[in-house]
Amino acid sequence: MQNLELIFFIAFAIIAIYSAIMMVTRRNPISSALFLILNFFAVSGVYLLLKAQFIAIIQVLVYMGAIMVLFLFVIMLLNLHDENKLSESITYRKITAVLLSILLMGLLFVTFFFGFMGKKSEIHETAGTIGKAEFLGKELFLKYAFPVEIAGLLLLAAVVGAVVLAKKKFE
Amino acid sequence: MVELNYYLGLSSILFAIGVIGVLVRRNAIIIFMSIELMFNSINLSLISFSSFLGDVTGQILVFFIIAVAAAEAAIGLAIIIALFRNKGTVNIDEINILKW
Amino acid sequence: MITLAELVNAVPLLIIAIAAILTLLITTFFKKSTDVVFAVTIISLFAAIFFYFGDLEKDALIFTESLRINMVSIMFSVIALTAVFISVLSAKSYIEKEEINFGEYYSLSLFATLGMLVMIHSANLIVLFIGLELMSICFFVLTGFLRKRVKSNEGALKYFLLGAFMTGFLLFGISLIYGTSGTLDFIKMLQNQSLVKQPLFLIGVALFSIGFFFKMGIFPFHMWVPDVYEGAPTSVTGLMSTAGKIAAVGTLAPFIVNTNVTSLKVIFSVLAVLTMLFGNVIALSQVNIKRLLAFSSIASAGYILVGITAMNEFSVKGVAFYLFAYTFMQLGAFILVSVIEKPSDSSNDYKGVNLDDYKGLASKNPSLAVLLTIFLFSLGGIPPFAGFWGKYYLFYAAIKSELVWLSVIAILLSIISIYYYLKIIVYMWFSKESGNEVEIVVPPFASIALYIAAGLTILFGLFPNLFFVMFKTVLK
Repeated sequence: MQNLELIFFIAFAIIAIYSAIMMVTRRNPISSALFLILNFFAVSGVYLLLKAQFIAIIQVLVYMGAIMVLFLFVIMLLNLHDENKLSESITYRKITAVLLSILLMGLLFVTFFFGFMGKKSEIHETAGTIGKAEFLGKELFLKYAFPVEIAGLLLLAAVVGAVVLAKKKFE
Repeated sequence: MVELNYYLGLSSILFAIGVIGVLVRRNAIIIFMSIELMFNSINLSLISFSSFLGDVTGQILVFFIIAVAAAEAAIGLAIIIALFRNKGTVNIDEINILKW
Repeated sequence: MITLAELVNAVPLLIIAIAAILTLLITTFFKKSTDVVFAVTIISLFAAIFFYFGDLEKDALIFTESLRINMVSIMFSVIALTAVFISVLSAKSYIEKEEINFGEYYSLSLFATLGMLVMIHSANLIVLFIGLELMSICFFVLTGFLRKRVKSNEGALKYFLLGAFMTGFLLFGISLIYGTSGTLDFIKMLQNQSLVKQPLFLIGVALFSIGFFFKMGIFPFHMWVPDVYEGAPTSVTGLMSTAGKIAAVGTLAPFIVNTNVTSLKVIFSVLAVLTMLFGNVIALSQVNIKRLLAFSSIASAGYILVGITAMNEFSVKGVAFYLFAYTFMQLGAFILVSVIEKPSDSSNDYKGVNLDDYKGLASKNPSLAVLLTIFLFSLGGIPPFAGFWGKYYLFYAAIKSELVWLSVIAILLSIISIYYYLKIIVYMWFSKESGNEVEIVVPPFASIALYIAAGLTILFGLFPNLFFVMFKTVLK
């Protein structure tokens, strides 16, 4: 049972990292977007391992179902061409950027991996209950009612803003 | 047993790949997708903290991050469409004041 | 459960939220109603400021510990609202001139204001994040509001991509803070004294600060400032450079000052020096006045960081006074730029925003030249104006924390800044007019805003204590 969790984690982690790398390196924006969807899928699998069932579902519905569809829609609307091959456009600046990012990756990994090593080895026993829609909903609409209201206004402002910017004729 | 730091390690690797994407790619849409990848990795770390601490606040924050990501996607893509209409490109090398 | 007492404490926020939705509804259902929308916006902003001086509880946690109403947050909210008020007052004629006179402009400004207030009052990191994003999203849209001008589009895209990128780092910091402290509540965090000794928590706080440094325009995260300020409509630039900065500082400063950690002090003071140096030196060579003011606003962020770095009881007061003075002088300068700017045509660039366009302004319109001289002297920190006292209080806080070297560098660099302000003044008063120029008409609302800004710059320069009296007797 415990081994099964580890096997699933490794499988999801490999899919997530592979798809992330593919997303960053593809020339065609559509294949990038599809790899990003795969990545979101793998990460939502990891959420299930962490017993955050509701967030895992939301991830699939909102990220993969809404946000990425919007991305794909815009990519197709703009009818973009493939970018130049990455190897054709290598400059010193890009090499420095990659080296710096790899350094950052190392630093972050060391901070997170070794900083929290041995601190927590097991998922908290209440994790199963707090990840459920019932518990989250109660917290969200009782304790965090105010940020929910503001988030509603944020979405309204975003809709108005998107219309202002993207509508063809506006008066 | 999968410990907390394995989840965090995965999250930091994904975050860094996102950062590389932002710095290396020139297509505004792919840069934006890399930013979404960064947000996603942060969600992962917040949820792993939340589950291991047995505390719900992390998951609540993830809700709001997802809501904000949706709003930002709408705005960002609208900005990209507006630019494309005037300029006919989304490559940030061809954008005059966008050198970084 | 939400009680009536809580609602009474949140009246200013409610007014702004209702006005934001109301303006949207009016715009939707009545064509050509922008004058009504403008009136609603102005009245609601004024009412919000008025209610802050009313009957609020002076130390309250409301909406299940989401918002914190106290002296400091009320002070910064009032400053932010004043900035929005003056900026919106002057924006009317500008957006008419640029033919973007839509009700949505006011509505988005109000939504951004709501975001600022939520952010400043936030008692936990969730509310802070939502407020910050509400403000940022409205600013992204407002930057790109001149939809037909490529520069505006490009500015919006740059602001958006970098803003979202930096939000990633901010969230990363929040996640580290959460992982080490187990809470997102400011008060619980500050109660736990052992937290500030944990390196992981401090890394989290540093990453969290980076997100705010981006909004303020502190040195390595400043690269968006000149381009976005240049690309955005001038009235929006004024709004972003004052109200946006006030919200970021008003949220970050009280938190950082309360942690009072030595290792952060070292990083912050180095960043402050680099920011002041960079802003002031690059500003010397600018020919576009919007870019020049952008670099001078980077330098101002450096002065503010000097005050924050002090991390003592004078910091928050000094920062607040500087921001208050900065609001009038910076906003005043940007309003003047927006008045002098020429109306839009088919071109992709702004017209009449180069330093050459200011040659001989004194002979064309002496009153405008006098006003701009007041604002620039104040920005340069020359004594009879409010800007001098702002810098004085900031550097005083730093000296009290034994950061004398930092104050000395700040003073030297602020002397450099006088050079480029004087350059504009010399252009206005002593240069010959270049070519045939049309007369500059100052629209009524813009001139009201200008005189308010100039009057308050002089008033608070002559009586700086008035500020502290205002927030002590009226609020306490």
